Amino acid sequence: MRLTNKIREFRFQNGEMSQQTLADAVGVTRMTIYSIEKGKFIPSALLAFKIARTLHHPVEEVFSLEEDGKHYE
Amino acid sequence: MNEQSRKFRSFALVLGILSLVGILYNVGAYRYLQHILVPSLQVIPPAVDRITIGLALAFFTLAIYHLTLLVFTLRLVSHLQTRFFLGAFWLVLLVTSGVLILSDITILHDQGKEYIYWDISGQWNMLYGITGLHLFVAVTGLFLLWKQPLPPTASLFSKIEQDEGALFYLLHIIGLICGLAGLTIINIPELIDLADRYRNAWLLALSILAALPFVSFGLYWLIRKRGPALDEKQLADVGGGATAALLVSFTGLLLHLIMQNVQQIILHDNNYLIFLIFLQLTVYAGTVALRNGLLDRN
Repeated sequence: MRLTNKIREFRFQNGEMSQQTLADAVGVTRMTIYSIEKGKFIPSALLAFKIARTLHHPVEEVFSLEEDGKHYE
Repeated sequence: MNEQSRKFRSFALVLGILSLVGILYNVGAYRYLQHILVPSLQVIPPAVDRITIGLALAFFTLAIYHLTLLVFTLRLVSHLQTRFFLGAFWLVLLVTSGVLILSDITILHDQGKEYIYWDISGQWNMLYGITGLHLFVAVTGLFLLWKQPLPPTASLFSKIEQDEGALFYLLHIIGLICGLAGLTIINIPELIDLADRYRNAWLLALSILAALPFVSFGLYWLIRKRGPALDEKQLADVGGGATAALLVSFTGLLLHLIMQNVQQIILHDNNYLIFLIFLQLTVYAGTVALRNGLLDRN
């Protein structure tokens, strides 16, 4: 089971927001946003909610659990 | 490049050229002093005093040049996006060369007192070796000043404050380089019979390599304190690195204890603590660098 996300997709929906802009908005480094997008780092609940709010989407749309190809939102 | 950066670069270039002249003067002065400073010398010739003034001026110029290069390098690395190893390696060399100017002065001061009693040829070799490092740094510095476009002066602190992760990564590459260099240098006396007269230089090199990563990270921490010092991923990386370092040092200590009691083997004897510091530094910085894409980035 792993955590997947649609940060990249929603960034582009939000006026092609850059990783740096999102990072500045939620108070982390660009490297952290990059690592979350790539699934290399699992954010805390607080950071996940901040990202979702900045991207104007509910957190369960931005992040979802995936197991054997199935998504659990 | 703005007017201020242009002036800074011109100033640094002039200092660099003066430093090169100073280094050549120093080599000439060392050759002369090496020739006359022997136990059979009865009266010190007045020329030695005049030479000493020249040496002091050369060291002063070289020290200011190193400081200028440090400011220049910090401004460059604060914008670094690639070639982290090269940037970190250059920074380590520059700081080491700068601190060793103090060592030059100390060695020369000691020689002035010790030449009467014993052979000081080893100290001259150390001075030539360190001068070689100064020369390399001075020439490379001039090349960089000439070739690299200089970012605006005011951006250094703000770049550190707004670090998007590159500086954090660079600091751990500096730690990794210093750790690996320290682990190599600490083994020199085990591999070759290092004469006592070289021990001070050996210990000084180890001290610089041990202090540099901690001082750099401390400064980064202090400047970043104006904003958020580390974000949650960086904290997780630091925690991961520290755990790996703890596990390796614990295992290392256990192995050492077994070797000491079963085989009577004692590694690094009096320098065991320094060895442990470099081992921890290497494992810690290496782990953090790996978690930040060491294998993909360089």
